Amino acid sequence: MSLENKELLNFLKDLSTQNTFSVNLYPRSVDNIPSIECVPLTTSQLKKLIETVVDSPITQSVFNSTVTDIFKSCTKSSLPNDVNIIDRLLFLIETRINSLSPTANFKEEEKEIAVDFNEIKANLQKKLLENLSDLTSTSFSDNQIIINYGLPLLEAETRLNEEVYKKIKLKVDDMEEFRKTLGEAFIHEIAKTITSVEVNNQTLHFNTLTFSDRVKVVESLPSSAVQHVIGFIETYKKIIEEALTINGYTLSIDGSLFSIR
Amino acid sequence: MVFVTQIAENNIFCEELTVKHYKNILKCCYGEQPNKQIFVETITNILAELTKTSALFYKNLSVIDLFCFLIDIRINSLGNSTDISFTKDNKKLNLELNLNDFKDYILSLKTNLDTTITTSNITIFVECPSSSRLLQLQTQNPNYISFIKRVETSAGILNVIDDSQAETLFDNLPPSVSIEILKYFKNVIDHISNANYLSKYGINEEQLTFVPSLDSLIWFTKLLFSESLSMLYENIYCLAHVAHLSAEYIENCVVGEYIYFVNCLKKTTKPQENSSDSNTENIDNQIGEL
Repeated sequence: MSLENKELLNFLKDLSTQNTFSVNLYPRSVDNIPSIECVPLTTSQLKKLIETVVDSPITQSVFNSTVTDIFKSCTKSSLPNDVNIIDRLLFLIETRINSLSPTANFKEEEKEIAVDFNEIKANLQKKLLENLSDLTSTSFSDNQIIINYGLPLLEAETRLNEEVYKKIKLKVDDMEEFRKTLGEAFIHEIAKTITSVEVNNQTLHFNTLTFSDRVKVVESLPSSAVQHVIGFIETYKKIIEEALTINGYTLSIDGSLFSIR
Repeated sequence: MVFVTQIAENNIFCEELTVKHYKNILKCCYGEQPNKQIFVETITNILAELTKTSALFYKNLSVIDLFCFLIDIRINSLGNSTDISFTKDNKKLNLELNLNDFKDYILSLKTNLDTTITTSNITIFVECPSSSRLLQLQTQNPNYISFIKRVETSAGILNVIDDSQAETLFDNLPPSVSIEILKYFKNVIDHISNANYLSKYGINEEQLTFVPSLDSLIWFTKLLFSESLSMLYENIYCLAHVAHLSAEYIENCVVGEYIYFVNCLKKTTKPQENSSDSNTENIDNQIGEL
């Protein structure tokens, strides 16, 4: 490596450690709100986020994968194993505040709406604490089966994106294919949320399976059991949507968050 | 003889341009698309010789400072005006360009290009790129990357040496800083687009605008030193053949002396215009107008 490039890399390393900020993650309990130190977004990472603006609205897989990669590279220490999609959302909002600006204007139906991300962050943290019991990992059991489920972990979503969504070439004008993809996305949400299934005292941990095997297991589960998982998914999505809604406007969590100054 | 000029806030003593240097300037600008590398190499070597400095100093000089120095050399060798022609209302018009005034216009561009961008604890020094940076470009015109000169933070100072370094640095800057750099560059483009020198004469149909690029530098160098190469060679031949001056002597003369000798030769050969000596007629017709 030439002296100039070595000097450049050392300089860039020092640059990245300046202006760090901390992100309060999803509360593991009322008394346990972990926090991690992050470095600010770089221009290169911002470009990648903006490129995801044309991501599929059904899967948002490219945006989600990009944010997960950036989340991992921006944290000063390695992420815990149980880091979930809400941790990522909290990181996203905090990094938006620290790397671009704490406010932005969005257009909706010719109206311009001013959004204060600090307000969104405070709202989200408040909602999480208020609804902790509804968001905590739980299980459903009947005489035959126990299904454990909770907030989707980033590990599960990464696997879904790598194994499934990366290979999809969605043709929106093909209605049959569109319907099929929509249906599969629904099953994938369920498969992300379930962590394990116990049958006859034998536990199948989903993190040991490929995603397509997870889907096969989900499709074989009784619908009466799966209904509870769907209820959980609807609950946490509703809590998040309410937290992201200020003055009647719901913030979209996608690449457009970073293309507006 | 020497003259003094100011380059990047330094006083530089410069010798007068000789015919040899003048010839090399015309040669490196010759043709529809002169080779940019050869142009830069030739010009910087000439300036280095005239000022007894290194060519590297001129290669790292901003292209605006380099151009201003060329204007000074032109003023001190061939006078402070040059003719340009353009079209207005379908008529061909000539304008005598005052080079001192034109240099002021070029320097006013520089004040808008050289600046600092400071956000939180990062300071970016941006300025008009040097000819060596412009030689690295893959495209015709520079982009914002070429304008990044130096970065200062509490972690240290980094002097950007090439566009590849500038690009790596830019990609690793916080977006709040990189956005300011892009805004600065947009202002540069807007300012240059609206900086038509001819507008002060009420001429808006034609453009005389210096763009910080090598193509623009070459074009304006051709404007400053507009004698054709063939005419120069013909005049040297006539001075040698008729005035019996050695080619070596002519090449070591300063340009002002060369012009003087050519004018003398024209005066001495003119009375012979009406004589029956056809050789003299041919020589007189061959002596070019400067």
